[in-house]
Amino acid sequence: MHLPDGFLSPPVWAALDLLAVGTIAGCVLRLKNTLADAAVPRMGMLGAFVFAAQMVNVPVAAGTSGHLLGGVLVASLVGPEAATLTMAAVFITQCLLFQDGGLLALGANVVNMGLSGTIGGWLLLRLLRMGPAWSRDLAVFGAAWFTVVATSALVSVELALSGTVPLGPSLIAMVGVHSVIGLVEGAVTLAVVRFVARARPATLDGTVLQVAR
Amino acid sequence: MIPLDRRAIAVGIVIIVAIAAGGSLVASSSPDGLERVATDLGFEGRAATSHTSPMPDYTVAGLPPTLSGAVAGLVGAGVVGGLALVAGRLLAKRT
Repeated sequence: MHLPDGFLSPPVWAALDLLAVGTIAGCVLRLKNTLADAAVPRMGMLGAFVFAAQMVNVPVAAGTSGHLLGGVLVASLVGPEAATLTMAAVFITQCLLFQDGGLLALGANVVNMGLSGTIGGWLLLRLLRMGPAWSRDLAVFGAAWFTVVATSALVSVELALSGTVPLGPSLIAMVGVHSVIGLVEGAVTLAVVRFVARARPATLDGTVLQVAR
Repeated sequence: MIPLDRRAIAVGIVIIVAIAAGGSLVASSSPDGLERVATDLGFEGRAATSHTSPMPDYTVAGLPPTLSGAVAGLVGAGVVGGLALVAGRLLAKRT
């Protein structure tokens, strides 16, 4: 779902660039001298994993493919602030080294595919995790799935605000195809969270990796 | 604070290297959701390129296609992992 340049109008991409820079700066300030040492190798490993996994497009419907976003996954394992920085590293590298996503649209891609999961999806996961123990896996899957669908709707709104395409048809098309792509997100997120949970169950929730502020 | 098991880290790195090196071989080349919608609704022509990159579309000039994607994947995963590690190291609590 990487936006190239040209799809968004200057006011829209500029606003999203500002939002991305502001949020990243906020996360840096909140983490400074509080990030737990244990989160550092996780950030590196998860960043590398998300980058590699995003290269693997999975066929989802006739002539259409999708790939992992990863924001909910990373946030559930290192917390929202460290996840935001990790995801930003993914999109900055994709844009600058591999020309995946536009340079002006870099902030839009960070917001759409990063912050949507590391902050929005993470908050939803916290809410869903309050349910009974048997529903925990479902909560992870659901938060990851919903993040992809919500992101596709957000992209439609940005395209409409930019005057690129009317909201109605693009919303229907984007949400339709991404409700299928989201199933991949849910499955991969759940699989990796369970893998890490087996290795280190005590630190499943990213928040416990951060010392009290 | 106990760091991740060494064994879990080793297994994780093996998985990441396998995906980074082999992922491009099995990846679908079909358009992604947004590209598909852009084509169906006729706005794909608006896409513009405003910068150039050393490895556009995860290809390395001069390498055969199979090797090219693997090199791009390994380089990218290494760069992202390194950036995230450096960011984390700089922000980690001073002990």
